[in-house]
Amino acid sequence: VKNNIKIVIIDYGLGNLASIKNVLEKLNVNSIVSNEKQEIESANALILPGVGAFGDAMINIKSLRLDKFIHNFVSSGRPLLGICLGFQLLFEKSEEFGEHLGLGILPGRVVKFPVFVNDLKTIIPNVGWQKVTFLSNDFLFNRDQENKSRLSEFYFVHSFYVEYGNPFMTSYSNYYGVKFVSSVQKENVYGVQFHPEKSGEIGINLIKKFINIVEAHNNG
Amino acid sequence: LRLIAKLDVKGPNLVKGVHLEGLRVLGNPEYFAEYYYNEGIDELVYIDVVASLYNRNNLSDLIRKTASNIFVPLTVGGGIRCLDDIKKVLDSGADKVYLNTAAVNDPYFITEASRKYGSSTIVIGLEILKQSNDQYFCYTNNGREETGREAITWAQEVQKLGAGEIFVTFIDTEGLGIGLDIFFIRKLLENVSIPVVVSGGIGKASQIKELSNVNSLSGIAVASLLHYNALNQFKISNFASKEGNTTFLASDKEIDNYMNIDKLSLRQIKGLIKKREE
Repeated sequence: VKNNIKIVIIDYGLGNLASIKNVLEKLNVNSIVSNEKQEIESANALILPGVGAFGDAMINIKSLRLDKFIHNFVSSGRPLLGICLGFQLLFEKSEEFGEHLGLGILPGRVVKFPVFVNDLKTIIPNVGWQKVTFLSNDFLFNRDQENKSRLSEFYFVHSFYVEYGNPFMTSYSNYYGVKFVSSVQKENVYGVQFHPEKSGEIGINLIKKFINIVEAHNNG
Repeated sequence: LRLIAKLDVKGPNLVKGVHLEGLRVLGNPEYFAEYYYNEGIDELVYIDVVASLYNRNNLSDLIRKTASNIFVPLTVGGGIRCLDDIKKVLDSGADKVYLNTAAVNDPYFITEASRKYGSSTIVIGLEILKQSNDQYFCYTNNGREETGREAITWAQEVQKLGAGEIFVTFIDTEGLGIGLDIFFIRKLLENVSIPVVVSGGIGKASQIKELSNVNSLSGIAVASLLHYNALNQFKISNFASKEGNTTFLASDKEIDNYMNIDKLSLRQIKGLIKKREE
């Protein structure tokens, strides 16, 4: 076990936290699932996971005062990775069943996939493996390992998305011709719309890259 | 189009039947799951085939072991009756739950479950049989009990109630490898807008090519086609236990000649799907 770093997987009562912990265990990284202030303050990095509704998530986060802990953590410069709903929560607001304010760490809105695109009925949620095109500003995708390609497939499950062209976009995908943001980075804050912990070896490689970033930050 | 491995589990063993009956023991489910993961499967489904009959669900250990080694989505079904059962399965490491009997008995359970765990977590199983009037009706307890629900009407209803995905099993053709009713699949797809996965009788390359051409189809689930091929690769009888009908494995018969299915590896199946998509 790499005892020098500790990753806290934030538990706000939604989603499958076991699978992220399982990947970190496989990579010999010390991690705990928690929503305690002390644990978060002493972490080397945070992972904000989540499956479920944006509104419910924010209610839970606020009632546990996690929004404050997360903002403080981000200000300290240590790395944070948001996954799926956890990625969407990083933005300003969401249109999911009414309008909800997010953590506002990143600018932008989370919107719903259209029911029709060019008279073609869409299938929602978007469940499955989608091609992701990584831009030159991306540092999470391991190009060397994936044969220098800018493209790879990851596993997605979502009905809402962040609009293409976000200033912090580092990759994008396409569903029924609707381009959307697949990953972002703003300084020490990283986020992915897909589930790297469910995307086989390619996903594990991406999490490994994030761990490398955490280690580099920890070693100054 | 997702390629999903469906693993029917009875007690400690992977089993496979015909028309969801006559279950034959094939070996340790974990062993198969890991093999499929290494070969590039998109998703796995575990169904405890006798759970709802005996009112039990004993897959927690298997789920835990699988989820710690296999990093693709895992759906678990069989005998899940209440929100606590769902929590137990998800906490063990499953990503989605498959509901049939419980949803039919209390449709509002679908709404409760999808509100609590997110609709993408809730997969509704439609185990269907063709009737004399060419309509399909839904069954529970692995095709043992009639529900009186017409398949397309029920599919639309579960979508409204908050289901995130529909998983169809054709009981008529299940385990035979003779192909699915594409006409019905197209009709179903016209009537719903959530992802649909189909299973129950896929055994030939030509059928996979045909299914890859069906617009809006989200996934195909296969069992025999993968399991018998995997057994040929293993060349060993990896029993988890001697419980159940193990005569097939013990008989040492040439598996190739035993089933009316194409000899296709998982990678070849994925290749067929990819070719169509490009």
